[in-house]
Amino acid sequence: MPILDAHTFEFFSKSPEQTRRLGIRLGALLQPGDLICLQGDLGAGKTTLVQGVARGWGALDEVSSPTFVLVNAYRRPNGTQLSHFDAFRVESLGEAEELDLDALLARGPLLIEWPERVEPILPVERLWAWLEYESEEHRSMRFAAHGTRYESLLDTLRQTIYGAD
Amino acid sequence: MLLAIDTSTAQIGLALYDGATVPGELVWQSRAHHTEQLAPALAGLLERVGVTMDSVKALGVAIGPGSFTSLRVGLAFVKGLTLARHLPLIGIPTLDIVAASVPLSDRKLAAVLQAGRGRLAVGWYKPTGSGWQAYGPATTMTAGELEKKIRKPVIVCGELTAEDRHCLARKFKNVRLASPAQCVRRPGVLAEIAWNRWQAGKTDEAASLAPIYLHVAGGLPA
Repeated sequence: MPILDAHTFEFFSKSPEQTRRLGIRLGALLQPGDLICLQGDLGAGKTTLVQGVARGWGALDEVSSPTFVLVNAYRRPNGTQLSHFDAFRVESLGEAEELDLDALLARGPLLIEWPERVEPILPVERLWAWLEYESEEHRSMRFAAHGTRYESLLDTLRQTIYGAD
Repeated sequence: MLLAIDTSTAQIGLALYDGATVPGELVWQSRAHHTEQLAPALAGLLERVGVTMDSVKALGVAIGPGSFTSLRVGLAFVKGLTLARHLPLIGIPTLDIVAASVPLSDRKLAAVLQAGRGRLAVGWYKPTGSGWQAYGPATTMTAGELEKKIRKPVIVCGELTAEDRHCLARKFKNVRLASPAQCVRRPGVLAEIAWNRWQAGKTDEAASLAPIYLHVAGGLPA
């Protein structure tokens, strides 16, 4: 696991199960207001990672791809929700803005797929992940922290993974 | 009786107003749960005060500036009531409510509310014989940017965080900060402004009444 710099973290997943486990560890660390951007082509492992995040976070609802509904909400018993926004079908920044990402962030963490399509309206502090297809089972992932909250989040994630793997 | 609803920001406000008294007024901060909380809160207020919707003869609503989801919840709710019960509707700019609760002064007034991501929506008001009058559209800026704009004595009133207050207090010679209690945007005040507009026959069309949204990024391409 090479470390590019203090605010970046690379992970090489050998199976969907490993991607999911990484998601679970990330999900367990999330707090309301956290923004996680997941950039990667179809088949890069975004949905698998989100499934793990939702489980680690403690969601009651099952993860599905939000391509057709724009935003999915995975609830937790304490009333907070993990929001899962797919920007693939958003036609303009104005349309994305009307979804009121700030209101979603007030209710819990927010995961965004295809975040590059709505980048100008996103808060500048966030965790940005690039996911890439390497081979049938293998995926590479790079996480970059923007802002102190995300630097400490990434530090903790790195520690939990080094401690466990 | 007039029912007033303000969901411009995280603060939700409800009030009943009969021209002489405010029989009920409710204000609370909601963590983006406006949809779930608004209707039950109204039902609770009506029950506690001992009136039904049949007593409500007009509706007042705050139209922003404010955030997308919260404003939409309030306007959709009020428009639904208007159409279902054939009630007159009056839309009031949200910062007018803030201004109306400040005693008139010879200073100018900056009325503010939280615009998200640490920014404020700021509307400027000047004193006139008939009360505070807005000039120019509301704009968004940080408390630091507002502080830099202030060169003459002004009053600042509205939703201010502890950090905002700290920042604006640096201009203590020119800035008079309204106290936290005075800064609460009261639905009773909204109800009063709406009542006066209703009595003057200046009501709005439910179909065309639109909220004033705050945009997160300046100069969005359409």
